[in-house]
Amino acid sequence: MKIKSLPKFFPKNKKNNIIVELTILDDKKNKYKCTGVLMKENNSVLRIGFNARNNTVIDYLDVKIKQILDIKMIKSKEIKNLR
Amino acid sequence: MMPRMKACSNEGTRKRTASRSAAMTSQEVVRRASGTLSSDPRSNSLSSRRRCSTVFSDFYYIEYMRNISNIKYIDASYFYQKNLPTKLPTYEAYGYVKKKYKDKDIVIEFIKKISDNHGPKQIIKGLIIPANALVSASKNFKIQELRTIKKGSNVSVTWRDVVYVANKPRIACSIIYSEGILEKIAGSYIVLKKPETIKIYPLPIKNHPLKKPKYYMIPKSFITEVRVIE
Repeated sequence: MKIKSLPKFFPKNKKNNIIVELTILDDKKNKYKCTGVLMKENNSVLRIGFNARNNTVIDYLDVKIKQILDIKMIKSKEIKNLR
Repeated sequence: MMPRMKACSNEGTRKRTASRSAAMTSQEVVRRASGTLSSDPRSNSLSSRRRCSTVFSDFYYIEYMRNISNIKYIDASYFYQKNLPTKLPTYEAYGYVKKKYKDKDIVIEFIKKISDNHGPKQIIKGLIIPANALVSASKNFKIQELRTIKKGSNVSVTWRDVVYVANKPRIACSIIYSEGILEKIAGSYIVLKKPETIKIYPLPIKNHPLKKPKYYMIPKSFITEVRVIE
């Protein structure tokens, strides 16, 4: 299983956060969903930030692209704000 | 397997895609079958959600999990030096929120497992915050007891703390007990000097943190009880 043409979701000049939701398959064939801020993207890894302190990310996950089954960008109007 | 990114990235979550249906958990299927969730989320009124919560509390959990949420909250901090900030740090997180109606705690899952029915209590990766940790709830929070307590008094404080969870069946915040000298009472927090702090829930009881700090900043909205001690 390999996703060959992952779209570039990380435009360098964009100021706003890019929120994504991933469906991940691990080595034991368990499926997971995770959501967060797209921080970094290269040929093998996506970095998803979950939690930030004073706007500095303190908790993130590097996801191997070969483990990603599905990815979608979440529009801001679809995000519920709890503040 | 063919990638399904095109359909998912171009359409909003409100539209039901084939991939989303495939990812639907078995509990959602049960819920649809029981008639508590229509296929269109916009048709779920608040009153119907509340009604559901009284009958199907676990199902209510799932309904909240359909939303991706942006949470802004505060947390307690401890320091080993006297250079204290003048305000509490603000935290921001994205995740799937689980919260029962009128519950004291908010569960935020960063990662959730969807391939089997592991129950509502398992958290793969996430955090649990007191409902009063939300920035809006913590502003202008007042504690009557603090009006009569003078600075420099020895006090005991019982408070609920934010907890980070990974692969544990947690549903509630930690409960912390602190004793120390009341150094400062600010608008949204208090500062304890030379605090002795232990985690009393969940067991086992242990120091929090393990190395004793010199100062502890505790948000007022976290505090459940404060007393003067001799």
